[in-house]
Amino acid sequence: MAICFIVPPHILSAVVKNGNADQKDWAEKSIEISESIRQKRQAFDSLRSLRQELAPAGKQRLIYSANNSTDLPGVEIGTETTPPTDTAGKEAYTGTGATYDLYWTTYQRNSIDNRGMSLLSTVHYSEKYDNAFWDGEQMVYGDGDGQLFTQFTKPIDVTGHELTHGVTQYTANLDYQDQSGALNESFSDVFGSLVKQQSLHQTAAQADWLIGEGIFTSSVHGKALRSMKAPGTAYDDPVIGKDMQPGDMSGYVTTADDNGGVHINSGIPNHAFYLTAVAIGGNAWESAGKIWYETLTTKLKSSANFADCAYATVQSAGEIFGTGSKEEKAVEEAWKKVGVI
Amino acid sequence: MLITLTRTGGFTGIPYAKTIDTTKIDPEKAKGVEEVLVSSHFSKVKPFDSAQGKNSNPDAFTYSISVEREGEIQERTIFENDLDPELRKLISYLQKL
Repeated sequence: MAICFIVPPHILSAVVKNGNADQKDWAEKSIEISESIRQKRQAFDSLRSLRQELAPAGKQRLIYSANNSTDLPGVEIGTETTPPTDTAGKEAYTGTGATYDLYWTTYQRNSIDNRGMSLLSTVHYSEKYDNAFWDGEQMVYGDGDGQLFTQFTKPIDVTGHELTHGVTQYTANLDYQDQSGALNESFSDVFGSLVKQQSLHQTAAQADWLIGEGIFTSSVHGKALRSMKAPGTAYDDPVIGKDMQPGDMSGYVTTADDNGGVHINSGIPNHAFYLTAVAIGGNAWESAGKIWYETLTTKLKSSANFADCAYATVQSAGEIFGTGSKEEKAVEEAWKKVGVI
Repeated sequence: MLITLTRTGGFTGIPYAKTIDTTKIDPEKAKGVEEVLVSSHFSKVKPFDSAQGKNSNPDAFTYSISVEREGEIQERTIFENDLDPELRKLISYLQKL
């Protein structure tokens, strides 16, 4: 993981050399903090590699707690063989296991890197932190502020979403900007939803297609953060506003915020996946999921846009299920309905 | 002094914004704002150039802070991964006000 600070090390060194007493003090402290974090991370990475070499093949979960600090990875509270007892830790352990199982049993992918990488999660990150993210090497979860959001380990699809950012990083490595960024977000929502559907044994027709259901406290007017079935309808609340996701290209949002609206425009490919899955029927992870997985891992360049993804998924469907198959037709029809092709 | 904190990105994708007029809050808290601004070296943070960078960590936050005093506006955009402990303190202080 690249731990970046605002002021590059060579500038800090110059300030130590040439600055006044106050500036020197600040630069020395910054160097000290940076070096301390770097050393801790190096030691941890060595330990993680060693444990991975010694561990038996298969699912390897490591759960840490930041104890409400921003130090990563924090302190160990659970391993594969000694699950955590802490609630957030247990949720991260379960969600991570369900995600590993989806990728392994359905797509024969051995963890994020397909080489059995241990799955590291840190819970209790920062204070009242309303977020979960993938930092390039691990998952990080906040506890939520308690007024609007509960803990981010609670919905299982959040864990599936974050781990899929890792899978994307090791495969298509979609640029996190504009349409490729929205695809990056959408693939995470797709496989996050599939983790939930598989764990609940739900068919495409039975699934709720919501992302982040249960993340809001009871004071928020909303079911979830996003709806793949009906983008733009997940929440409408006087404090946090209204779900802005479009379900087709007529509602595409052009903005500089959020890397070009990656969490907004992901509604379009999300809806294409939903339409494909319900048109095919049955378990979505076994049909549409296979098409999307094949596309993510073998067909897309990092700069792919929505149209590239649409044509690539049609091609994948033809390769997996046959040219002219109902699956291939369902994919093509879905992208047409959302206005991409 | 008028100080505006905005936050975009994150798993939720829900933006957050807060504006604080230090002339209209408790003087002790206003003094605190000045202190965290100075200790964070906010004014030394390089202005964001969209051509030079983007938030490449999926679901991480992007913060923008605007400080307006005596007609002069300083605005900085900072990615979550680039926050040092002092800038974290500044953001945390503003969020808690």
